[in-house]
Amino acid sequence: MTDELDPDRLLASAALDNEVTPDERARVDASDILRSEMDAYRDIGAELRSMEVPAASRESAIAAALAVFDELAAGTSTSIPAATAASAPAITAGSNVVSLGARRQRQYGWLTGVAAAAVVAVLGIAVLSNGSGDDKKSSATVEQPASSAAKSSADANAPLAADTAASPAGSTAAAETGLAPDMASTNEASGGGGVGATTTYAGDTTLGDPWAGAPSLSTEDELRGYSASIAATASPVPSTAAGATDTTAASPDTAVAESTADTDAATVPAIESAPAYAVCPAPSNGTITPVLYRGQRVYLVRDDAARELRVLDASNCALVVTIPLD
Amino acid sequence: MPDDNALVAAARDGDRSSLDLLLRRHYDRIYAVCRRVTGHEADAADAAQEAMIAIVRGLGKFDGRSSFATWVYRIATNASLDELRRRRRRPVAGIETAGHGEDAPHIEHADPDSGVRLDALGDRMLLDRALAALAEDFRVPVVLRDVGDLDYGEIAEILGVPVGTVKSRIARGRAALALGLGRDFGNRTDPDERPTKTS
Repeated sequence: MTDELDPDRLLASAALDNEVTPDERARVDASDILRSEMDAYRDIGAELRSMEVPAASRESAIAAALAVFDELAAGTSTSIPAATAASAPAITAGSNVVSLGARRQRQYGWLTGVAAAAVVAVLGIAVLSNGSGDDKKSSATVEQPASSAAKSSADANAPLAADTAASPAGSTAAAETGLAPDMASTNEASGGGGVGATTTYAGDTTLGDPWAGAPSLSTEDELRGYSASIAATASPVPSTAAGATDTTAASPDTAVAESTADTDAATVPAIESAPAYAVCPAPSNGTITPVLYRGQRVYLVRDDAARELRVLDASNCALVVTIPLD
Repeated sequence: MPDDNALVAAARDGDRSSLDLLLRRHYDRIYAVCRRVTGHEADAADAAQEAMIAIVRGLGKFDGRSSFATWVYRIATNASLDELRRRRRRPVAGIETAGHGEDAPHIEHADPDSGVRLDALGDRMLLDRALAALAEDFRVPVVLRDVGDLDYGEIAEILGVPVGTVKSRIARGRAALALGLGRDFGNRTDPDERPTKTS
């Protein structure tokens, strides 16, 4: 494709936008074709502008933005002065804030079922095509991942969020959801401390998605609470711990920005293939664990030496926010 | 009614209601830009929400050198393009609208107005399809111009390209859009040079 363009066509478009000289305007006015072309572009522009804006989306987006404003006003981040802290009303559990992760979960969660079915089908075909005399061995090999996939599919929409503590069965199921079988068993075997050194799974997709089953947190208090629960059950930064998060210990009851209706907020970001995530530095005295913060994949770093929490962008380890522990 | 700059200043000073007003003032057009760039209602809602949050986070960095609207639409454009990239990473089953409940056409009982509604629905789908067929380089400037109501200079600033390029891309984009909607004017564009996606 070149940048060549019929000069008349350029003229009709530019005239519509009043980006022409008086001479060019006169040329357009003198041409029926150019005027009709300009009129057609005007009509198309009107069609592009014509749409209904969903009120629910508007209110949700504004509520989410104001919740961020309130967070900033609380004085732990930049941009908005802390002076607002006193005047900013608290976000209640009933606020109309829906995390993007939760919304995407709802939109694309159905694809998990399709993916699970595909896995089962592919494995089934592989078993049949490799069918030797050792049928018993083949089925035993296939059984475990197939059932894991099916379980993952069935649990993909299991709610977690603030209800986790009150619903251990549901949270356990959800914790299993996005984990690769070996990862789940590692977590289980290690007592599910939830502490993950990023070096163990960064870039290693065979371990599954470290954010599968990670709690979805929205406020600094939630981050503090979650970090405290992790620190209470974990030794500082084991070098080989798996990155899975024990969701039974997750999500304090102080859900704030997340809507109470949005109970699936903490579930696995459904179908997106596990994106690349960076190896972020672990503190020498503390913990680092994957969480979803406002729908974003982040590492929650607890630095007991500095007495602070750091939220790092999982894609590049950029500091999102620093939160004092005391 | 206070202008954008006054609301920005008040919001920076901690006035929540000013921020609320500012966000409400711009949300609908932000959503419209996101909707036309992403071509999908749910993606547009996500992108618009991302944009609103980014606006709040970046309010302290807004230096007023460009208009607030220009700054806002740059954020909205980036959020939309990010959303498109995320969408491309997601597996898609069946036709584009499959699984996207909000966009899926609903079957309704016949009534005297059903023909009108179907026409309107068909028009909307045709418009979405024609826009989706446009390469991003052409779709975004057309949307920023026709939906965002930004002038060529502002669009050039947002996209980081010269004004002449913006002018050309808008013209080519509109021409391709008209063609896609069956409103060609003598078919002066060589079909091989239409600014449509190559894949």
